[in-house]
Parts: sequence; structure tokens; C-alpha cells
Amino acid sequence: MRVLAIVLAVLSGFVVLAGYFVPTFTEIQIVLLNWAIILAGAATIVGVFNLILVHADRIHKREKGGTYSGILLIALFAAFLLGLVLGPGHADMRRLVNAVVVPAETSLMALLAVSLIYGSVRLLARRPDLMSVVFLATAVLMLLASATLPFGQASALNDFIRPWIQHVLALGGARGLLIGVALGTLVTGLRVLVGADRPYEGA
Amino acid sequence: MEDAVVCPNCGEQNPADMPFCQHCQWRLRTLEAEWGTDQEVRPSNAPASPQRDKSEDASVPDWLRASRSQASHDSAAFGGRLEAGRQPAAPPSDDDLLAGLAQQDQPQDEEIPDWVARIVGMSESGSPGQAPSSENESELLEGAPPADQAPSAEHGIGQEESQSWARDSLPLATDIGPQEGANRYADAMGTQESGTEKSEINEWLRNLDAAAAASPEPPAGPGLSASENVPTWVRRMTGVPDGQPQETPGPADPVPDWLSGSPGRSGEPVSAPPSSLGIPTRSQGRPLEATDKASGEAPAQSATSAAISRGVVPAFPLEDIQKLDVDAVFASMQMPVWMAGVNPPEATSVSDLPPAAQEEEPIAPADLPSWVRAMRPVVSGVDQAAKLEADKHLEGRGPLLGLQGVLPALPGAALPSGRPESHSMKLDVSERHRAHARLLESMIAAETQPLPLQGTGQFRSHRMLRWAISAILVVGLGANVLTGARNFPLPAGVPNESIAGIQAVESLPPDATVLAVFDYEPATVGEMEATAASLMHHLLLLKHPRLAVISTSPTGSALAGRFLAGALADRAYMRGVHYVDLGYLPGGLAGVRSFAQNPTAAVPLGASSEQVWDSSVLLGTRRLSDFAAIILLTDSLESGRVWIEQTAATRGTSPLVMVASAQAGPMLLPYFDSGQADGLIAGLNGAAGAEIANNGLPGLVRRYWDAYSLGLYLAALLITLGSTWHVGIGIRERRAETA
Repeated sequence: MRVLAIVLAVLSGFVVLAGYFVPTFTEIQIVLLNWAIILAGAATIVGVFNLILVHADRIHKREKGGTYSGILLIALFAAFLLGLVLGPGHADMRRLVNAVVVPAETSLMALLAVSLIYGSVRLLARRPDLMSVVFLATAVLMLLASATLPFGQASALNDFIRPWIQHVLALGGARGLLIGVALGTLVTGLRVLVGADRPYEGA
Repeated sequence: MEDAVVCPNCGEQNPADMPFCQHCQWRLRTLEAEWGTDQEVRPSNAPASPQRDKSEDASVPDWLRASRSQASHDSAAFGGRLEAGRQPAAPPSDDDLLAGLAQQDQPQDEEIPDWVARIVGMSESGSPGQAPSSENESELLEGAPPADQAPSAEHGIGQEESQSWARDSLPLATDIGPQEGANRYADAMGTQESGTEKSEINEWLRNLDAAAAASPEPPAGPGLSASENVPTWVRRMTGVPDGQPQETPGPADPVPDWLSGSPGRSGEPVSAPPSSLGIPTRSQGRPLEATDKASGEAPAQSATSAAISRGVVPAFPLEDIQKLDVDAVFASMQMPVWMAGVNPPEATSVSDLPPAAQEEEPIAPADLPSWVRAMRPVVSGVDQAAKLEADKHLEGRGPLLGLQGVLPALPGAALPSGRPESHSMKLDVSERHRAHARLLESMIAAETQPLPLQGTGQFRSHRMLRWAISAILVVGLGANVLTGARNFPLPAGVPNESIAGIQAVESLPPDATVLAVFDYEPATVGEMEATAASLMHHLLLLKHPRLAVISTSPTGSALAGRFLAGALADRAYMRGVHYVDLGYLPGGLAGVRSFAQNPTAAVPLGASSEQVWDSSVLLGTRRLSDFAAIILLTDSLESGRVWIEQTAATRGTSPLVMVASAQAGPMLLPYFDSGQADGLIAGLNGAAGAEIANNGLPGLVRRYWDAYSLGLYLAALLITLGSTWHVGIGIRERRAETA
């Protein structure tokens, strides 16, 4: 069984890879990718069921935060039932998203802004070294350069310093990160193709 | 006559002619019966003539017969020991333990000693032939105790007196006085020597004679006192000259003839003979101890002299021991390994020692550790006096009948005295150990406990700091939004990537089909809508494209409807008429790849399960390259990277314009610089130029710009002030520590 799983995984990987270069394998690639999409959808359903079980168990054991778990399950079943009845494109469904989901997540993003500022304030207190100073100086500089001066035109920070930092320093760093990510993805893909890594075995 | 006799002791059957049990050596027949039936077994002092035995059996009373049997038994034991010393090679008979005694006593049948005759009462019976010679009689009189202590034949005692005397003389030598024991031994020696002058002397006595002849004449014993009742021959034997002044003059005892040839005759020391019955006495058992103490201490001298006065000659004379080179003796011995490494202590003379040490014993008892004492067997702790007292136990039954001190009769000897004392395995834990154990347990328990919060004051200050930051941001930005102030102008400069994006949109043909990908989360709705509104508004305003909305996020479809119905509400785009919702594209990278390969196969139906590919919006659109442009609205690097990479080979010449958040913009900028993306509008800074190009429509950037700029300034100010404050505190603390 284990060998069969390895053979199927490696063979599927090579077929999908060949579909990028050989038109003959394109149809097979599409079929395999559609299977992957279906499995991903099924995995989403499995994830939803797991979420229900975890929070239901928390309610059954009367653990701390069980009330929030109850609210979560109620909202989940309500949205599911409304989606089944009305459909996801219904105006009421969109109103539900705009009235609940968007404000909640936006508020979390606002809290993130406060937390980031607090963390920056406490950074030198916890790790007073040169890299912390450089980090804070760069952050403050980019904040000031991203805004315009009140009651006037854009300053030199906004016209020269910020573009230079963004297109030289940030772009160089981003390219390095992307190249690193690409190399890591390539190596990981090759290891999976040759069977060195078998993430499909689990554990 | 019976063939077998049952032993009364062990119950085993033995032949009828066996005097002792073959299994337990229990005497099966009494001596009287044995005398009457077995003439071969007789004691050394038994009469030799059977006719005489028969005549005596008839005339001798019962008490005398019993006395004879007991005396014959004791004499046989004594004679056996003497014979064993002279003739060790003579094997005893297997059938009779006393057979050897009979053979030994054969030459003495004709010469029964007088003291034996006195014991058995033969002198009173007036039997001839057993009377001692006049010479021997004179010797006995010289060494005999006073007349009032031991009755003699000359006193003519009656039958009753003779019976009591004989009864008193029956006990073993330990009950006999030392002087009397010595005299009896001398009698026995004289009797034996007179009978067998050359061949009957013990071999060990011969060897001792030879050793004594080679040694010089020792001086007189220092403790030998003339006041004691010591015969002259004994004094001569111990080396005391006759002419030496005596403290108390005593009678000059003549030396008997039978001792003239003994080693003590010349004053040479002789080894102590065994006691009358061969059982060593106390004086014999401690010759070395007496000698050691005699070297310099008066009590020891008196003990030695007392021993000599009792006729007990020490086995190791004092002179020999003093002349003996002890070091040479020990040097000639092969020491064990464990003793080889022991260095001898430094020799310290007695005079060098302090007075207190001189008074102490030469060899102090070792101070053994407690654990060593605990390991010593219990037997070792038995008192020596009790042991000696127990040695006096007289066997009253069995084959050892009449013998004394043969078997150890220690109290509790039957118990397993050698068994070591059982000790409890419980640890001896003191209070200090308990304290350490409690400390260790607390340390282990502390590892599993969560770390306690820091000081309340510090925690409270942190919480106040967070509340202060929140208050400043909320109050400042809220006031700016509520007032609608326009104090911060839009940036004049427009980034190149934004200009490229605007140009890509402007280059699209009118009424083209455009794919709009809404891959952002509801959390970034505010930023993404403001960033994308100017570009999309510009597109819809100029080109009136037909839109196909798709998303790799489950909420993307709803956010797309929100955007088109909210930010672009003035464009009045209707779903199903101006745009179609392809819904959620699952599968992540694979879904994007599949959609790029075959859009109709990947998403055959719309979000509401309607037929979208045959609708008027997507008319003639079957492949990805059929879309005139792809507008990607994303707030993450991963989503932008997937769409750029997976659609690069299938989108053909269709431009890809990205609208990204300020967070993802710098990371997606390399794709624009490399030409994989045709335009990039990142954040409000990038969207400001597009809005300016769109004549300030729809105006979201302008609406947010003041709050956005004020928020950036506040954030920079808080970070600067907070960092400066903490740097100052750190410097002060370091100075305090240095001071």
C-alpha cells in the first residue's frame, strides 16, 4: 500500500510537470488538477465538520469559552442554511457578509495596528541592540515618507527618499525573498517527485 | 540370647554382641554386664586373672562394682590418651572402642598404681599383687597431700569411710585440687616409668627433654616463694637452688627417684603436662599470657609462681620466650598480601610514653566502627566467663557420659547465633534531608507551573500604554474622519507601476471581457476598495468592459458584489448583465492552474449555479487568453504570485494588472519590474496617482488620505517617543547598576 501511494504520487507529479512542456499531457494534467480541486473542496468540508466537532465537544464538557463556541456553531448553521436556501449571491447573504464579517475583520486589523505600534514602542525596552534601532528607524522613516506634510506639498521624503527605499532596498530584499522561495519550492517539488519527501503519508 | 539389640537412644537395631550402637555410639550394655560377658574388654586397672574376677564378683558389693566400672572407664580414657601420645600408629579396633585400651594396659596388668588401687578400693580389699612397692609408696607419701586431706590405707578406715572416700574420688580432675592433681599425675608418671622405663615415655615428653637439655639453666622463677608448700623436687625442677634464701623456710622435699631422669631434675623447664584426665586447665590454656605478664608485672609473676607451685609447669618457659627472636620468627613467615602493606608503627619505648600511657594496657582494644560491630556475630559477644562456666557441664548421657566440656554448652547455642542481625531498610532521614527533599520537589513542581505574571505595577503600566496608544489613534483619526478635514494633500508624484497600470487599462478595447480576481480578505476591505476604486472606476468609465468576477477566497464573491455595489455604485454594474460571478475557485494553486488551462472546465457554473459561459457577458470567452485583461486585486504575496506564475503561459497577450495592499505591494513589485505584470497599484500612495488621473474619482483616496497621513504621523511619533523613553530608562538603570 505504501509503495502504491508512492508510485501514484510520483507518477501524478511527473504527469502534471510534463503538462507544462508537452501538450500531449495537458489533458491528463487538467484531469488530475480537477481531481485535486475536488479533493480540496472535500477537505474543506472535512475541515468544517472538524470545526463543528471540536466546538461541540467544548460545549459538552462545559469548558471555558463554551459560550463562544455555541455562538460560533449557531452562526455556522445559520449561514449554511441561509446559503442553501437563498444562495450565496443573494442580496441578503451579501448584506450578512458586509454587516458581520467585514466589520469584525476590519476591527481586528485596526487592533493589529495598535499592537504593532505598542510592539515598536517596547522593542528597545526588550531588545536594545543595533538591529532594533535600525528596524525602528526604517519603520519611522517609511511611515513619514508614506504620508504627506500637512498644509503643503509633498516633501523630499515622499518624492525621493520613499521611492528610493521602496525601489532599491525593498525591491532588492523582495527579489531575494522571492528567489529564495522559488528555490525552496523547486527543491521541495523535486524531492516530492523522486519520493524523497512523502507528505501524503501523513505524520 | 537375642540376635539384635535395639538402641534405646536412636532406636536402631544392632548386633547383640556390640557394646555400642553402630549409629549413635550409645552404650548398649552396662559395664557390669560387659565385665561379666566380655573379658576382652577391660579397663587398664582391671584384674588380669579371670579366676580372680570370678572370686571378686562374688565377694565385691554392688557399690564397689559400680565404682570399679566408673573408675575403669575414666582410667581407660586417661590411658588411651597417654597411649595415643606414645603410639599414635596403633589403630583401634573397629568393633570395640576400648580394645586399644586393653592392649595398652597389658604390660601394666601386673603393676596397678597405688592411686588407682586407692580409687577402686583394692587396697582395702587386701588383694595382693596390687600393692605398691615400698619405693613407690615412699614417693607417693612425699608428694601426697596431708593425711587429713586424703585417706590412706594405713589409716585403716572402715567400709563406710572407704565408700565415701571412693565416692569423693570419683569426680573428674576439675574437681580435684591442683596439688592433688599434680600428685596424681606424678604418681601416674612414676608408675608408668617404673613399668616401662624406656618405651612408655611420651614422645612429646622426649622431644621436650631434648629441647630443654640444649637450653641453659634458667634462673629461678621470680614469683616462686618458699613459703608455699612446694616440694623440693618441684622447686629444683623449676630452677630454684636449694641454697637460695627463702622468705619462709619449708620442708626440704627429697626428689623422688622416678623424677631423677626427668628434665626438671636439672632445673630445666619442662612443658606443662596435661591434667590428670588430659583436659587442659586454665593455667595450661594461657601459658603465653602468663609469660608475657611475667616479663614486667608482679601479678603475672605471682600467677606463674602459683602455677609452678601447683605443679603445673608452663609449656613455654619464660626464658625461652625472652630469648626467642620474635621478629625473626615473623620475618620467616609469609605474610598475606593484606598485611604486606601494613607499615609497622614506630617503636616507642615505654619510658618515652607519658605516665598516663604507661599505665595503660600495652594493646588497647581496637575502636571498631559501629557498622563493623554490627556485623560481628553474636557468638563473639558471649562472655568468656559464661563460656568457661558452661564448659563445666558434665555429660550425663550418651557416649560422652561422664565427660566434661567436650561439647560447647553455651546458653542458646542451639539457636542460630551466627545469624546476622537484621536491619531495617528504612532510611535514616534527618530533618535537613527532609528540607532538601521538599526543596527539590518544589523545584520540580515549579517546572510544570506557568510563569507568574510580572509585577502588577509593570503589568498595569503596559496595559495603560496600550490603552493610551488606542486612545490617541481613535481620538485623532476619529476626529479627522468626522470633521472631514483636508489638511494633507495627495502626493504629487505617481509611481511608475501605477502609471503602467493605468496605461494598461486605458489600452483595453471597449466592451472587452475582463477577468477581475478578488483575492483579498474582509479585513483589508477598506484599503483594497480605496486602492482599486480609482483604477476600476477609470476602467469602467472609459471602456465599459464586461466583467467576470472570480476569487480563490470563499468571501471573495461577496466582497466583489460589495465593491461593485459600493465603491463603483455610480457605474451601476448589474450582476448577470454587466458582470458574472464565477464564484469561489477552490484548490489554490491547482485551481488557478486548472482555471488557466480550461476556465470552462474549472468553473462550469456561476456562483448561483447559473450558466455563465453561455451568457452575454462571457460570450465568445472560453479560454483565459480570451479575456482582454486580468485585474488582480490581492492583499497577499502568495495569491499574487500564484496568479502571475500559473497564468503566464495561458493568458497570451492579455495584460495583468495588480492592485495590491501596501503590505503586499513591495513584494509584488519585482514581478512588475521583471515584466510578468503590466501594472501595479500598491496602497493609497499608488492609488492616489490613479485617482488623480481619473479626475479624483471616485474620491476614496482623498477621503482616507488625511486620516491615513495623520495615522502615520501618530504612529511614527508614538514609536519615537516610546523608544526614546525606554532608551532613557535603560541608560538610567545601567548607571544605577554601575554606581
